[in-house]
Amino acid sequence: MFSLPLAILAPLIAVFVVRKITSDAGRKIAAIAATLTLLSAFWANWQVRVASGWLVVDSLNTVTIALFAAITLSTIIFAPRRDCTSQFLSNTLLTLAATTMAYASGNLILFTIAWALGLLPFVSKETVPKAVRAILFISLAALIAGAVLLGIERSNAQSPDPFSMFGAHPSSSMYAMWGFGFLGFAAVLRTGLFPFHSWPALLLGQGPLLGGGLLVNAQLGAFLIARAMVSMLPDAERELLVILSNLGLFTSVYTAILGVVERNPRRLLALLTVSQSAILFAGITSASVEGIAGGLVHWFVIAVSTTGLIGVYRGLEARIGEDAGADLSGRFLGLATQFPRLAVFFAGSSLALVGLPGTLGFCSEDLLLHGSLQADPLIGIAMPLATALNAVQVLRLFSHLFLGTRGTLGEGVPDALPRERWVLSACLLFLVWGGLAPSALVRLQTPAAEAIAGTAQHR
Amino acid sequence: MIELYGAMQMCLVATSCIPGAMFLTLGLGWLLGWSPRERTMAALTNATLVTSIVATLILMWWMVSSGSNVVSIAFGNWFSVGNYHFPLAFFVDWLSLPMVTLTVLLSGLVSAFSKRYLHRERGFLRFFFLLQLFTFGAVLVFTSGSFDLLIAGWELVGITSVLLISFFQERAEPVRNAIRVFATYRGCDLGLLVGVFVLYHHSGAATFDRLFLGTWPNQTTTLAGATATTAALLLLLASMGKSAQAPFSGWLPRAMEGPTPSSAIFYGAISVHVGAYLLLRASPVLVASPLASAAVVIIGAWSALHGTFVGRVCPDAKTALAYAAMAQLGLIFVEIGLGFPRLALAHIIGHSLVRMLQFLRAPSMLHEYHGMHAASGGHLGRTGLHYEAIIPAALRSWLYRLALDRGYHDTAIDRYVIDPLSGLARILGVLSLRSTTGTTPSRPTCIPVTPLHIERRADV
Repeated sequence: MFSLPLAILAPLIAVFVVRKITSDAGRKIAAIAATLTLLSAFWANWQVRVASGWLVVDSLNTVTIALFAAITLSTIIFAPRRDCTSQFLSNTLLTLAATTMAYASGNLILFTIAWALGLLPFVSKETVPKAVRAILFISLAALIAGAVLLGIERSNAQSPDPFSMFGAHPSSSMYAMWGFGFLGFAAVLRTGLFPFHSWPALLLGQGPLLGGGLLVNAQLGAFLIARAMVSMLPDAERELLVILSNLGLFTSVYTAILGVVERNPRRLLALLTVSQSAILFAGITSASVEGIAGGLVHWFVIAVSTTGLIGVYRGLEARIGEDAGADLSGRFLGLATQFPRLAVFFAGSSLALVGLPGTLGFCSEDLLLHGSLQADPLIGIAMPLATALNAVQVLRLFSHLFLGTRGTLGEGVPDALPRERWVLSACLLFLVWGGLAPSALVRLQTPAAEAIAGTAQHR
Repeated sequence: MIELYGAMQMCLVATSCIPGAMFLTLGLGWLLGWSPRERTMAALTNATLVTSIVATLILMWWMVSSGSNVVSIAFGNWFSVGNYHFPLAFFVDWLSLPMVTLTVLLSGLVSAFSKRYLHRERGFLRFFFLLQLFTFGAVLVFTSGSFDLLIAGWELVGITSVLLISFFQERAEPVRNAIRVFATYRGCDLGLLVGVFVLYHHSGAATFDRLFLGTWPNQTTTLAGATATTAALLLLLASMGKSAQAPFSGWLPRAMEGPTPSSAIFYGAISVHVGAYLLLRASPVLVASPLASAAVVIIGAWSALHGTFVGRVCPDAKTALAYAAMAQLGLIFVEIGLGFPRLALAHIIGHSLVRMLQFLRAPSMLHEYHGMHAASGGHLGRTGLHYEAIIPAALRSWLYRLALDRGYHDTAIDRYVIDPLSGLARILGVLSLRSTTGTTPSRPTCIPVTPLHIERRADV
């Protein structure tokens, strides 16, 4: 049971260390801390499952902790040198520690603390837009309200652990209804579902791209649903899951349509991420094993693909300047000539995100398609529609950035550096390996999917 | 006999997988820093395709000599969750084997042709990478034992096609056309995804042996009524996109921006026939639905006439060939809809061979024509006056205008699909920004402007 505390404490201690040292050494220390979290997650995966108490080890969280540690490690390694300040590193490690704690918690109090801790890197007025901060804090307030209401209700019912995230809720009283409503609202806000879909675009557009990418990729909204809502929701409130699932599908199409006229690459990347995250959300709330497993596998795809895409784009910004590609209307930057490998990494990651065959995205979207169409064929059609629109948008983004006449942009600046090349190759290999032999990853997520679906269908 | 069958199964797997394995190996090597020379790349591609050709010919010889109708091999499930299974099964019969043979043979020819044709072209390596991926995708479509796997190959054919349209990436127009083609593909592919789901939902599996009884072309299905009609119409939508049938035909002339060898293999030979193959493969479903069969005939006839008329007013050779291909594809659709699958298959093979030759010769054709024109003293006889002889003059001028505007197909799609979608996106964009920030910025995009001098390499 030491693995999870180690996974949380390693980055938390490193936060204080990297604040006091130079960036080169700081990057190494941050990378070591993220690696420790990653190894701890692997270690936890072999441990006996503990499904109660403050910290929980099960098939859902060991995989997600490992995944998040891996993308944090990747971000730390490929971050451009100009970004790799002590503040960036400490914020990244704090996000890792908080997210790991949230994934590991089996208790709403701990989960809420982790949620709040994860927002600390985004309180800065200078880098994070006001609207984003407001939405993130409202999500925290909703989570606190939901946890308190459910805790009161369970205390009244003489429950031994009123804040546990496991076990069906005893009744569907007014307290419970409002409590679950607040939890659902917190999940909707954090995932960026309609009508709160703009904050990731604002954050990634105007705020820190790499840090914002990690915050969005934590998928704490979807995790809250998978961990707490599905198992705790009383029978009478199950309609809430259907509403959330349909809202997820609606958001996926809505944000995909928004992408049609978006000209800023950062915002377009954010809209793509939200659209795909909304599909993941819809899968997890679909109550079919295929849909849930598809959602959990798609979690891998979104995390790895968007980390690759954001990494490549940030690398391009470091090479050509931040304003060179800020408005792509009618312009083709032609960067593939100068940066062919970055172009291939970008193309591979983006096509994996929208389900190119031979990548893991194809398998996850196949499962999600079956899950969503089985749940409701008429509403389920939204999922392939959103994916089709997103696919066109990623090709448009790729074309505008990498195709066309080059001009003088990026002249004399090297293509992918070794540290970028190895990390991005690993991301691409993971997506391709996962696509060619998906059964291992699908099997890894199936117990969690069956547990969630079992909980959903039993009652 | 069993050992021989095992060897045939290995040939089937080799044909299906070797181009994909070579693409992955070379691609990974390139990503990690290896840059092969032109000669090496061409030799490796040729070797790959020759191996596939040999494996296919052995397979064909064995099937002919043993009188076997089907060779199949199943590797269990690619992945499975609950009651859902994605089977990994390969399969050839007398519909798919000719298509596989055609694919590997013509890919081999294009590879040999392109070695000289694209010599010192900037995208030489890219072309050969994509040719390998395309061959893998097309062979996967033809050898897949289920609709699920067929979708994988189908998508690979689509994406390689799009990437080759934007081959001459230094110009903006090929890139714009590639995006338009991709949008058409993805829109129509919705039909395939949902159609296959309908088949799966009805039969509990998407494998051909579960869906269809008997051997091609005498297969039957248990599907009937509204289910068969829905599935068939959805598959028809997918086929229309891939085979450039009206009204989704506007992408085909745009696709001519790619290099000639890719136009030859994609739009003259294999890629455009993949849609027709899908209909042939799903022909039992079409037979079960008279409405869908009638739709196939009507769309085929419409496309044939459209291709014929528009092709006659095209000013450049490749576009005229594209419309000629569209007309023949329309006729193939008519044959499928009328229930002549063998004739349609023969038509596909013949058309692929002729059209690919025409595409490959297109660059030299004009040169030769001018030579002949000069040699005959400027007295070459006019050709192609058949329609002019039978159509009244008034109708001719009307048709001429219609043909010049390419049947208004693209205009209609722009007006009724793309413009409303863009308009909706603009309105939603403004609403979204207002809902979050309370304001509508004059510039709808966010602008983190921190100029960075490009020579500051240390910042990378």
